[in-house]
Amino acid sequence: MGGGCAALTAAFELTRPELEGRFDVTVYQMGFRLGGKGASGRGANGRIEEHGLHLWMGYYENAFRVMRDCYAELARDGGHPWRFEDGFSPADFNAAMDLSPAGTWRPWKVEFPRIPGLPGDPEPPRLGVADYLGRAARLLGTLLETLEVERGRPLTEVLRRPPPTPEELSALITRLSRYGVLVGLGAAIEAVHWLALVLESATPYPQSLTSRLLDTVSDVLQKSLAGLTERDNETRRLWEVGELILATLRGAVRFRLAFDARGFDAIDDYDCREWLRLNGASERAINSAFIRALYDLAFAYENGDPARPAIAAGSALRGAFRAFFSYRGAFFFRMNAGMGDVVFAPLYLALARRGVRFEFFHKLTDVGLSPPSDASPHVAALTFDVQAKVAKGSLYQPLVEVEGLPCWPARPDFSQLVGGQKLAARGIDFESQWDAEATETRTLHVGSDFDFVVLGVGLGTIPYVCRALLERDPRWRSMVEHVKSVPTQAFQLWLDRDVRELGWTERAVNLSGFVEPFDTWADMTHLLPRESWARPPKTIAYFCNALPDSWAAPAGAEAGRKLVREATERVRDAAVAFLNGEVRELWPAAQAENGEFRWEFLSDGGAQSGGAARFDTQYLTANVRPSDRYSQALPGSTRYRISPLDRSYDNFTVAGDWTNSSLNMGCVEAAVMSGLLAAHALSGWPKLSSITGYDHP
Amino acid sequence: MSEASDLVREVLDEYGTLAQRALGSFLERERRRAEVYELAADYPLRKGRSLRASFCIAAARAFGASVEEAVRSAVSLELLHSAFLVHDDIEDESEERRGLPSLHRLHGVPSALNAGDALVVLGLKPLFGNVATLGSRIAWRVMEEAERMVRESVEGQALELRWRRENTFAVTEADYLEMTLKKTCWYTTIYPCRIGALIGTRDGIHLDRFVRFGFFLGAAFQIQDDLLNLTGDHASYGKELEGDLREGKRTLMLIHVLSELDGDARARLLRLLAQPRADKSERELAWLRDEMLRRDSFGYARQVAHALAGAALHEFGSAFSTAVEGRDKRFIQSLPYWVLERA
Amino acid sequence: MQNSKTKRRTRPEPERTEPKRAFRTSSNGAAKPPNGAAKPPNGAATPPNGPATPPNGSAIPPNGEGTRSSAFRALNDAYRLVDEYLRQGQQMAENIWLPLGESGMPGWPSPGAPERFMRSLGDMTLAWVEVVQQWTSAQAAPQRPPSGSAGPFETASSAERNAAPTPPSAAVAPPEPSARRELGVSVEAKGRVEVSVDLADDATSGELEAGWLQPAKGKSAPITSVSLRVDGKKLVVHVVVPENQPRGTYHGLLLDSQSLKARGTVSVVVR
Repeated sequence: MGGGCAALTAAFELTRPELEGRFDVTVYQMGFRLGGKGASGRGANGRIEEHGLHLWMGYYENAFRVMRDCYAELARDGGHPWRFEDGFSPADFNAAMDLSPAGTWRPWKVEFPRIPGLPGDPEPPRLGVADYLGRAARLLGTLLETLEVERGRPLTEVLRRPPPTPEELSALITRLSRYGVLVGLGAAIEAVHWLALVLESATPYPQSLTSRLLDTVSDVLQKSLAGLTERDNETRRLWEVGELILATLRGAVRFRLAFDARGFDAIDDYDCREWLRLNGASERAINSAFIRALYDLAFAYENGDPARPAIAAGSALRGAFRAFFSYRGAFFFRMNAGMGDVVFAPLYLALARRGVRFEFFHKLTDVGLSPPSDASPHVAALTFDVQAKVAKGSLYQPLVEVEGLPCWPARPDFSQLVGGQKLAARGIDFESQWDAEATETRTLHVGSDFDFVVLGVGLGTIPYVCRALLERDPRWRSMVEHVKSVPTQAFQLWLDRDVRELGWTERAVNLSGFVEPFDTWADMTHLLPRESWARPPKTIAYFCNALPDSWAAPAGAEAGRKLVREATERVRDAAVAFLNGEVRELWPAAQAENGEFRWEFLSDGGAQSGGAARFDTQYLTANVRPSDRYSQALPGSTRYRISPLDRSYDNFTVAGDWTNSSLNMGCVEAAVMSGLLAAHALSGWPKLSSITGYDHP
Repeated sequence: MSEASDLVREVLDEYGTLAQRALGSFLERERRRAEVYELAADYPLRKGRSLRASFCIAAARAFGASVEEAVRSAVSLELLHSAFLVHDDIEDESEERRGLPSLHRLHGVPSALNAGDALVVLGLKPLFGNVATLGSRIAWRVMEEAERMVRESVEGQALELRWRRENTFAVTEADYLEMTLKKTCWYTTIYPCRIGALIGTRDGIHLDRFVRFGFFLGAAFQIQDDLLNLTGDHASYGKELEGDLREGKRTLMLIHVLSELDGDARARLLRLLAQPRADKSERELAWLRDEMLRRDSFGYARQVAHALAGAALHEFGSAFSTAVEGRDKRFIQSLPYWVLERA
Repeated sequence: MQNSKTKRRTRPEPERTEPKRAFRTSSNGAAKPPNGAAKPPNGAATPPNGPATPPNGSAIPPNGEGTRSSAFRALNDAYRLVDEYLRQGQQMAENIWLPLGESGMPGWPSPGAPERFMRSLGDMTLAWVEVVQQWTSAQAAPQRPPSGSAGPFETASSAERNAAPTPPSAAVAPPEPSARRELGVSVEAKGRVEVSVDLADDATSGELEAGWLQPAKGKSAPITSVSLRVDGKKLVVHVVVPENQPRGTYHGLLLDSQSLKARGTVSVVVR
C-alpha cells in the first residue's frame, strides 16, 4: 500500500533476484504518480515542481545503496539514460543564517570536506558512541585551534600518545583548574585532545573523572574565550558550536549513553535543546544559527508553530552524529532533476521490469482485520476507491519524457483514462485522501487476492484507513496520538536574474536557519538544463518551511478541498510578504525603491503579468493533505512508534518514516530502512545486520 | 615465562616461606591443645603457594609497612582460606586438595565440618594479636575488614549453592562475574590489598579504590583456574581434573557452551547437568568436553581472562598510585601477567 | 474466504524485533547475500554476538579474532558490575548514619559519625600530604639537561638573534648550582604601566612559556601579547599592553612548557 520511499524499498527488496520470485508484488498507489512526500512533477516548460527541498545526506547508506543497485540494474540493458552518478552530486557549500548580537543577519558559511568513498559503498563506517564522542571532541579541538593565537605545543605530541592513565588525567584536571585560565587556550586545546583519547578509549574511565575533566575543560574554555566572543562573530559562532559539543559530551557521560542498552533512545523524552541546556549549554548556544538550522531541516516545530521547537534529543543526536561523523562522499547530495525523476522513475522502471504490478488511481480506504475471535489476528481485507479506470484494461503508463529523461508529470494523463475529459473537467484532487470521487470501490481478500500486506502509506493517512486497527489495538491508538506529523510549505521561483544580480555574493548555497515563515533557501539553478524552457531563466530558488497547523480534520470532501485552497492562499500571502520583506537580507538587490520585491525579476514564461500577480506564475505548495504531512520526532514519542518487525498481525507489516526504523527521523533514510525492515519481516531478507545503522546506539 | 612471572614467583617464594613459617609456629602451639586442631592444621600445612598471605604482605610493604606488621593478618587470611576450602570441598564433593585426598574423605564429613569451624576460630586469633603491633584502632579496622571479607565470601558461596540447589543454568556472564566478585575476589585479591593498604597507611587511604583492581585480577585468576581444571596437568593442578565438569560448576566455559548450543544438543547438555555427580557418564562428559572444544569455549574464556587481566593492569595505576616504588609494587603489578601465564 | 484460515500464509518469526543499541554493538556489517540456511523457527537461535568494534586499548593483546568482541562485552559487564557494586556500597555507607544523624534526636550520638569524622580528617590529611608532596617534588624537580637550542624562545626576532649570536655551547654549559637567570622586562604601552616578574629560583633552564595575563577582577579582556626571549644571559619578558586596555591588575604565569608547571608569575598594573 503506497508508493513512497518506504513502500518501494520493500517492493524492491522483496523482488530481488536472490529471493527467486518468492513474492509477487503489487503496488497500490492513489493518483497518478509514485513518490509520496518525495513525489515531483513536470509542469509548464518542463519545470520541476517539488513538495519541498529534498537533500540527501551523506550518511543515507541504505537509501543510496538501494538507488545504486537500482541504477546498476537498469544500466545492464539500457533501461535508463542516467547512471547513479548523473542523478546525485555533492553539495558542499552550506550556510546557516546567523543573527549577530548587533541584530544583523549574516550567512555563516560552512564548506563540508569531502570524505573518501560514497554512501552505499560496502563496509559502512564505524558507528559507536565512543567513536562519535571521540570525534566530537576532536572536532572541538580543531575548532579551537582555528582560534588559537598563541603558540601552543605541537598537538601531534598529544595525539600520538596512548590514552592517559587515570592519575595522569587527575593531574591534568588539577593543573587545568589551578592554572587553566592563566594558561589560556593552548592548554585547553591539549586537554580537549586528551578528552578525545579518554572518550575513545576501549576501557571505560571512572565516570566521575571524565565528568570532572569535561567540566574543567568547559570552564577553562568559557573563561579563556569570554573576552574574544564578545568582539568577534566568527569566534562567537565557533564557540557556540564548541559549547554544544561540550554539552553533548557532558550529557553523554552523565546520562551514560555509551552504556545504556537503549542507546540514544534513553534521552528521547527530552527536547534536544532542553537536554543541551540541562548539560550546560548556554541560552546563546541553544539559540544559535547552528541549532536553528538543524531544527529547520527536520521541520522540528510542534504543530508547525515556530514558537514551539521540539525534537526528541536522542533521535536528533543520533541523526546529528551520523550526519557529521559518518557521512561519506559529501555531507549533502542534491539531485540533478526532480526527486521523482531521479528516484521514483528509476525505481518504477526497475520494479516494472521485475514484474511488479502498479495499480495507480487506487486510493486505500480501509484495512480490514480478521474477526476479534480469530486466534491469530491478521489483515483480512483491503478496500480501495478506484479513482479512475484505465482504458481497455491496459496498464496506466505514468511517465513522460523531458529532455530525454523519464519523468513524472504534474498532472495525470487523462487520455489514458476512461472518460478522461470528463474527469479532467471535474477537478479531482487525486492525491488527497479527503477527495471522495471514485468510479467504483474494490475489495481484496486475504488468501485469494493477497497473502501479505505492507502498509506503506504516510502517517497522516493512518486515521483514515486503519479504523479497525485503531479501534481494537491500543498500541495503534497511542501511536497516532503521540507520533505526530506537520504540514509543510514551499515555493519555487524562476528568475531572470542570476544570484549576483540579486545581491547574493556567494556561490550556490543551501541555507537554513533564516526567519520564519521561510527559513530555508536552496539555490537550485543547476536544474535549468533539465527543464525545457524556450527562453531559460537564470536562477531557480526553492524556499520551504514547516506550516503552522491550524486546521481541524475536514468533514467531507468539499471541506477538504476548501482546506487545501485556504492553506494555499495562506502560503501565497506569506510568500509574497516574505519576498517584499525579509528576502532582502539574502538578496539586497532584489528590492525595488518602493521597498517591494522586484516582481519583474520573475520569469513568467511569457504571461506578461505585472506586480505581485506575477508571483502566481511561479510554483507553490501547501502540503496539508494527509499523505503530504512530514513525520516528526517529538520528545517522548519514540516509544510509541511501531516497528515493521512487530508481529501482532501475522500477515501484515508497516513501512514509513513514522515507524520504528531505529533511525526514527522524518527522512529518506529512515523510510528506506523501514522498507528494508518490512521486507525482512516478510522474507527474512535482508539480514538485519546488513541494514546499516539499524543496530545503532 | 616473562620477567613479570619470574618476579612473582620469587616474591611468592620468599613471602610464602615467611608466612608458612609463621603459620607453622602458630599452628604448632594450637595443635597440642586438642585433636580437632590437628585436623584443622592439615590443609594450612599442605604445601600451597600461600598466594593470599604473600599478597597481603606485599601490599602492606608497598604502602610502607614492615613484614612484622602484616604477617599476623596474612596468617589469619591463610587460616580463613583453609576454612573455606574444607567447607567447599564438602559442598562440592571434591576428592582432592593440594595433591592429597580431601579432608572429609580422610576423616568423614562431620569431623571435617568441625575442623572447618575450628579454622574459622583460629583465623580470628591472630587478628587480636594485631593490637600489639598495630595499636587498637588499626587492629579494630582490620577486624572490620575481615568481617566484611568473610561476609562477601559467604554470600558468594550462597549464590553458587543456590544455582546448584535450584539446578538453574540460566546463569549469565554478569551473574557469573558477580558470584566471582564475592566468592573469590574478595578474599583472594581485594581483601589482601585493602588490609595491606590499611596497615601501611594507618587507615589513611580510601579502600574502595582496590575493589576494581582486585576484582579484575581475581576474576582473571578464577577463570584461569577453571581453565586449568579442564586443561591443566594433574601434578601441578592439585585437584582432580575435570572435577568442575562433574559437579556441574557454573564456569565461564559452561555458560559459553550453553549459549552456543541449541535444539537437541542443548537439551542433552541440560540433561547431563541435571544428573547427580555420580551418575554422569564418562561418555557424556567427553561429549561435553568435545563440544567445548568445538565451540571454542576455552578460547573464549581465555579471551575474557586476558581482557580482565588487562583491565586489572589498567586499574593498578589508580589503585596503587600512592604506593612506594619498589619490588613489592612491581610484584603486585606483575600479578595480572602471572595469572595468565601460570600453568 | 471462509476456509482460507488453514492455508493462509503467515510471516516468519523474526529473529528479533529491536535494534541492538547497547555499547559497541553498532553495526558495521556490509550487505551480505542471504543465508541459505534459515534459523529454526523455534526461536532457539544462538544468542547474537554483536559485531563489536575491536578493542584498541587492551594492555594484553588478545590472541584470537572470533571471540574478541564478546570477551570485550564481558569486560564491559565486569566494569558495569563493579561500578554498580561500589555505588551501592557508597549509598549503604551514607545511609548508615544519615537517617540517624539527621533525625534530629537531641543528644543522640549518631554511631557512624565519629568514624566518618575520622575518615574525613584522614582524607584531609592525606590531601594535605599530597599537596605538600607535589610542592616539594616540584621544588626538587630534577633539572633536565639544557637542550642547547633556542627552543621555546623562537618569538625573539631574527634580527635580535643575529645581533647576539650565542653559540650553542654557551647554553650547554652546566648551570652553576646557584646560577640565577637574570630577568629583564620590556613593555610596549601608551599609558602608565607597572610590570613585575617573579621566577622560581631553579628556573634557570628548561623551556618556559608565558600565558595570557588575566584580569584580577572583572571581565576585562586579557592581555594576550606576552612573550619571552633570551637576550644574552638575560631572560626578557615582553608585554604589549593595548591602547584601550581597561585599568586594573593583570596576572599571568610563566610555565615550564613540558610539564606545564608554574615556574613564575608576571603581573601588570595598568593605571
